[in-house]
Amino acid sequence: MKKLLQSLFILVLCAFSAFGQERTVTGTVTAQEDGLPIPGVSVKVKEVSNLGTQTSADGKFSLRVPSNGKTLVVSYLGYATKEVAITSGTMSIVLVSDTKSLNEVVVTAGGLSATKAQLGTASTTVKAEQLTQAKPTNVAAALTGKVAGLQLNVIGSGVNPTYRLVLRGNRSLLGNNQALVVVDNVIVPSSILGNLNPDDIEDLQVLNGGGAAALYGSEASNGALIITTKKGKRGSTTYKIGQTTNAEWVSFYPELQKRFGSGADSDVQIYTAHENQQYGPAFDGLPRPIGDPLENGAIQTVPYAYNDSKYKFWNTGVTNMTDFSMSTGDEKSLTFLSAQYLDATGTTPKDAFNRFTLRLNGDRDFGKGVSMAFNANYVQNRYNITTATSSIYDQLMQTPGNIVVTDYKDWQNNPFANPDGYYNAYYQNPYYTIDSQRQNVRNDYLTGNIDLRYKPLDWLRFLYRVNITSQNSSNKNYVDKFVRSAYTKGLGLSSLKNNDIAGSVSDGESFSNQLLTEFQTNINKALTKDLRLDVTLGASLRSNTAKNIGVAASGLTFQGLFNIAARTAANITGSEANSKVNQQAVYGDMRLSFKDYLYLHATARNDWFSTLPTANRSLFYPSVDASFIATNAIDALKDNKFLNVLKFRAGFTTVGNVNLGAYSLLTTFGQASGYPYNNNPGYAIGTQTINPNLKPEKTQGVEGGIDAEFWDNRISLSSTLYYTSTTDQIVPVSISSASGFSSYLTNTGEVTNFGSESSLNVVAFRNTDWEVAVGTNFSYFDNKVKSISDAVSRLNLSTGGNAQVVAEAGQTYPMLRGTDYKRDPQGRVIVDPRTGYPSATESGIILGNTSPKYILGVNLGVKYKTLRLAAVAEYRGGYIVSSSSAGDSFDFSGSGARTVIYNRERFVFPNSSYLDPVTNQYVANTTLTVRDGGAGFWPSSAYNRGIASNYTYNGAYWKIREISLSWDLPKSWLGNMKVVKGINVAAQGRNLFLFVPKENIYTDPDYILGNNAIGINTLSQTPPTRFFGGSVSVTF
Amino acid sequence: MRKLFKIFILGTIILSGSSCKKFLDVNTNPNNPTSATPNLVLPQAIVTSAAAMNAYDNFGAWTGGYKANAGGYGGWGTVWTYNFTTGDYAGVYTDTFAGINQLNFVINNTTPDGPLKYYNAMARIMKSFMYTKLVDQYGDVPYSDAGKGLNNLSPKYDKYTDVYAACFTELNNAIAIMNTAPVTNVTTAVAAAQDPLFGGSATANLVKWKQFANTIKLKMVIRAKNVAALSSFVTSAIASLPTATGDYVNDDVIVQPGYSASTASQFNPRWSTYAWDINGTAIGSGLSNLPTPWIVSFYNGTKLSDNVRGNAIYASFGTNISQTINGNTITFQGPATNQLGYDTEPVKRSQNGSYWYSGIGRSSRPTGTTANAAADVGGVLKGASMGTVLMLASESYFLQAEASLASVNILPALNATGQTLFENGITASFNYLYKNAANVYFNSTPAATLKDNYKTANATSALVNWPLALSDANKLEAIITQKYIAVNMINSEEGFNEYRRTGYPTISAGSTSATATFASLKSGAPAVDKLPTRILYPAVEFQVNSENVPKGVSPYTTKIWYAK
Repeated sequence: MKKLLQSLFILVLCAFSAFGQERTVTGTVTAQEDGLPIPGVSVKVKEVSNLGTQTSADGKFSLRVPSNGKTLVVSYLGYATKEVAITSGTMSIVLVSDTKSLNEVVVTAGGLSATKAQLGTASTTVKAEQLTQAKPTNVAAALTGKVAGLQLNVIGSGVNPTYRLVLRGNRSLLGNNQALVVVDNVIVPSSILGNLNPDDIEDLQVLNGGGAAALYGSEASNGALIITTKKGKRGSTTYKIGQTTNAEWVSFYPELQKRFGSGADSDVQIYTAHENQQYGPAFDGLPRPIGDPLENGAIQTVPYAYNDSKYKFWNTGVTNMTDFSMSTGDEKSLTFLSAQYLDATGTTPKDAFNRFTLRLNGDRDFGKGVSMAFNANYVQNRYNITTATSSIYDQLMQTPGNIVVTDYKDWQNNPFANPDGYYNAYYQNPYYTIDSQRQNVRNDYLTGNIDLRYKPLDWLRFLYRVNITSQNSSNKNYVDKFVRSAYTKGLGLSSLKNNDIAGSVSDGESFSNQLLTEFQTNINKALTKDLRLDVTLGASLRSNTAKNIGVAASGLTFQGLFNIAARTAANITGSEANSKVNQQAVYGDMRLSFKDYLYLHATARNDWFSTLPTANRSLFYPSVDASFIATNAIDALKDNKFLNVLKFRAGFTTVGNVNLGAYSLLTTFGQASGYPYNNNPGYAIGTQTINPNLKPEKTQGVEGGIDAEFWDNRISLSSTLYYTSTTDQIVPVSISSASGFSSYLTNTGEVTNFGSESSLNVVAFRNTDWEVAVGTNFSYFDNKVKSISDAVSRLNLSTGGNAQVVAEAGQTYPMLRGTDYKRDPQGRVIVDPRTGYPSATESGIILGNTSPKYILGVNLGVKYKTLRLAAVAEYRGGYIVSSSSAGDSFDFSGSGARTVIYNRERFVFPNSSYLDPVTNQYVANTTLTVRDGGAGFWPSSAYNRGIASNYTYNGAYWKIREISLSWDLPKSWLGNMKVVKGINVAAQGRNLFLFVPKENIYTDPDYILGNNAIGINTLSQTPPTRFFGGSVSVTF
Repeated sequence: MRKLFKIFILGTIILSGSSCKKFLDVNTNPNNPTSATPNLVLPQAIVTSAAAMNAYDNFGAWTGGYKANAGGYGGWGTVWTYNFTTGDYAGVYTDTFAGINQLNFVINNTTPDGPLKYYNAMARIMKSFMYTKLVDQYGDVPYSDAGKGLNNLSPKYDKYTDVYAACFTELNNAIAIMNTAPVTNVTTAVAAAQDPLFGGSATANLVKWKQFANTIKLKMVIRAKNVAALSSFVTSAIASLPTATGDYVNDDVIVQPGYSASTASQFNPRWSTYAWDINGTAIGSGLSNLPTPWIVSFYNGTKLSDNVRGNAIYASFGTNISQTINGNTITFQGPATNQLGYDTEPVKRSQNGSYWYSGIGRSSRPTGTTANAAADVGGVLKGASMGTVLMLASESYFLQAEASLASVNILPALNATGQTLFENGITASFNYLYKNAANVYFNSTPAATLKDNYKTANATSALVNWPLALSDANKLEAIITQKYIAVNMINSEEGFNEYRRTGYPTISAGSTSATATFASLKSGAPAVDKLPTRILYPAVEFQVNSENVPKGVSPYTTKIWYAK
């Protein structure tokens, strides 16, 4: 009855309005994607100029409309403008995010913003949904395959992998090549990236090139990741809690032989019970003793047959993430609060990691044009991991196939598993190593920003920003003590078994701190009807301070007590390092917009650096770019049904890269080894001399591109070509030690980077319930070293081993150089006519480039109502990788699959020839076999292990990076639960499948050494893993 | 509102302007000094130079027949094929320049007549010593362009003849400086602690420096004697050699900065190569290397009988020891030995601390940290605090003995007979081996008596008894062979250098018998004696100084300049 009455009343009211001069139109504006009201939306009446209002905090509006007003124009930044016929009653208007990406507002360098139409350089937006769909623990991991021009590598595997994130290829020879990380408009150390809670991120802009990031000055040459964290939402308070659990398994094991057991003799296969090398007889399944007898006479006997315990060594890792967030806001303020706890165990037994993050973001309007925003983020992480990953992996791989290595877990109680009784005379029990060589690390990060804004006039804005980013960490590393029994030492087996393990401990603390203040003035004014000017002038000061201290002692008094004081040797060693780097900058950014189709953008920045010589301290970087929207400019293209957007853009930029730490300008003296002796100091002049006129590296670049959208914006295409040249690289060039120094730090060398980045996104199918979207991105890289210096044509970027990553004039960068077999002019391997053995080239040869030439990312998104399936696949190709440290270990021990390709029998070296002494010609070798096809060949450094080309392989792969399925429970199911606004359940997997060419028997080519020596994989990276798990989140 | 605006303006000014200079001047190094004085640099320059002797001895010990591969270890490669690469023994070159570069700092920051003149002279003598060591392995090396830093980053190589001549002049100059008296209140004395070689610039110590300089000069002349390209150098050089034996080294030239067994970084570097680390963990080279049957044959009676020095140098010398190798127990007379290149099991194993730690001077051989700290032990490995030998007194005597030979005719007027000098050389060897880490002779029998006993025990050998060596050739063989024995695992490279120069000790070229030759069983060298001729310039020189480094050098066929 009451309802009926109400309806009647409304009906009457409407009828009355229709006849009157004016009526009151009311309604609510909500967003389509989350159904939440949008405050501040402009609501205008189309037919009556200057009549309009804005929605309130709860998205409501009310407007007196004269009778000629028939249509409302509802517009809001980032949403498609909607025209709605005025109806009676409370109108419910739903705004859809602007699919016409031209109007999308993005954050650019310096915390400024621009519409996509205005951008003259390439950038990629990664939405929060894309970032978190597979529930990664690390933001970097979530980017791969989604951004054209980006190459991501894993440089430290384990419980909290570290990533190397490079845009548009490597351009600095020895300096940093990683993208700049900017969080909430402040440059932060790249370590922050791995410590952000991915759920805190609102959006992430990838500025691919130096041009886009030029405003950041010296650090911009590598492009930038601009991360904006969430703010509260006006009008409603929501709480979200979530729980994610992922399991992690090893996804790729190196290929090993399964046929031969312990033995180390050349020519004959003799079983040796305590031998790690596997050049013994073929497995026959019969029981054989292993190791040496214990003191009590006991000896183990196991079947002489292969078992796969080496693969069972690795654990299933478990990662738990618990999230809480709160978002609220009213007219005056916004608040976002979040917390996340992450707890992970890895595939390496006993490795553990946890991370706790807390964030408070806020925004407050003080009225009269003054407002403030602040962010505070506290992160702490804790590692408890082994320091001997590479030894453990090596020890495991050196284990003969008949040994059940998993039987030796309990080394404390199992006499055959402890260092005395372990069967292997040369390698430690990996389970013992795990327990005895460990590290505890504590890292605490605190970052905070305050942005104070003052907008006295419509066109004038001031901003004052302060930031503090500090890291405080400590670590303790130890190797436990072990005293071997006199009996073991008396066996005289090996240096391993002859010696006690003395143990050692080291302890360190460090802190680093960044203070930044920045001031900006912005003028945004229409100069004429068609011309609009947006100018920002700014100045900033930055100060980075760091300190590092460490103490170490070797020789522990007690097993299991790791304290510097509990040592046997008299002395402890200590170290201290301090650094302070200051930087000062002024900059300007100008955007000129002509109508809605021509945009000109220029930036200029001048930096002053404390680390450079006084005369070269000041650097100026200009950049210009422009964009032209053909579909807005040319009448014929306007409102074209098929072609929605066509935009051309081009830019030119110069940026520097100050690849120079504090105090690098003068040769230093240091206490020589052993000094001071008896209170007498002895100082040695350092081995590096420095060019007194060092200046920063300089990257000049041009880029041009095209963006287009078709078919109701369902197809979007973006393509960019770029060319950069990086000169004056700061490089410590090796010089003849006879010069007085062994290295010379100077500006030299040039690297050029040419490439293209393209992406194509297609919404293939869309109706009310379904949406199928496919996206691809393709990057091509061609990086070359044009020159290094007059004296030097090559720089080694890595050391040790048989293959080195080098930068070599005239070659692709980076390039792998290493030994190969000596070959005849036809490319056949030359063998010795007496022994049949090949030999190694004296010096390295070029083996191939180690950075992918092609990267293809494929993204698939399928939505059915509230069910969403997303998948990401990635292909990389056109490069090689070296696993010589793994190969070395596998072939030395005889566990490697390569060692059995000729059944350990004498074989004719494939594709070989020998020199006929009579004719002095190379003759094809079809009959001459190597003298020994077992221990005489494979472990030999001269014939096999020392040949780098034996362990390089095509690094190509296809990888299924992510598959996730997420489902928002239908609202109707939650009908009775007033409190709960939404429930989402999801299942996700990461790095699920890896497809590599047959020749890759080692590992995932993504796993490489850090720094610029990309392309070398070592045993310090544990086998690659896949993740699979599920998550639930509830919104209140 | 106005106020706020003003604050903003003020902010801009502060940020961009006034504080600029001060704000950026923070690049003063708080971690390390950027300048130093010669008195801080000279001590470690001498110690760093001495540390390079390790690389020389290691090369000489492998190639000159003093040590071989031990059982249980692999990966010898070029060590036993002698097909050296530019990576092999590169430390000989780089470690030497590491020392020379430090010495150059002292030379460049002092003057021959200024207050620091004695620093200047000492650094010159050390530098010339290092250069002669280098030239004796490589021939042509950078000298005139070397050490110029930014002024010459790719120094040219000078002919060995020029380097020799220049070093000789430098030694004469240094002696001349030391012959000038200190100027009171002007000349800064070199304190004892700043001269870890001879203990400073007191007169008695300057005498030792001059003896050392003279002996280097003598050694240069002897090495250059039969080299045609150096004939005029030799003629003029002989004239500047003193003729009193007292002007040459008569005590072992030992660098001793204060090596200590209680601090890991203060261990004697040779000890750290073969013995135990500070925690008493046995070191790898000691475990993977063994003496050769060849060198032991000069002690155990096979060639010569010399129990006294054999006991001093080798653990288990002359006693029966057993080893279980792959389940089979073998018994043999100590020390465990192996012929270089022999790898057919059973290959004898080494032991903790190596067979070069005899423990002599103690009733039983200590091990681990006890051995490190034992300052009362003799031999070649005495203890972690032992000094580093630059030149043995016995080498000085053998050089003088050779110079005094009529057919050599370098020092015909020397005031001592050839026999005296020869026997002094042997005595000095006994003397060194029975000195402990504290440099104190501890054998209750005087070294001269031990030498006499040695003569008696080898009464028929012309290698020991001077009168039995009838010709100058025989005498030279005796001198060189005794020098070869004296430098065993101390300055092993001198043994191999002298073999290349004189062909002594005599080997049976091409033989595979372990006591007939010291050549490796796996030698790839085409020479009759199956030995390499020299090492190659290090790889780094080919990379960064390629336009200057001599090319076409072969370890098999390019003879070292003084080779026979």
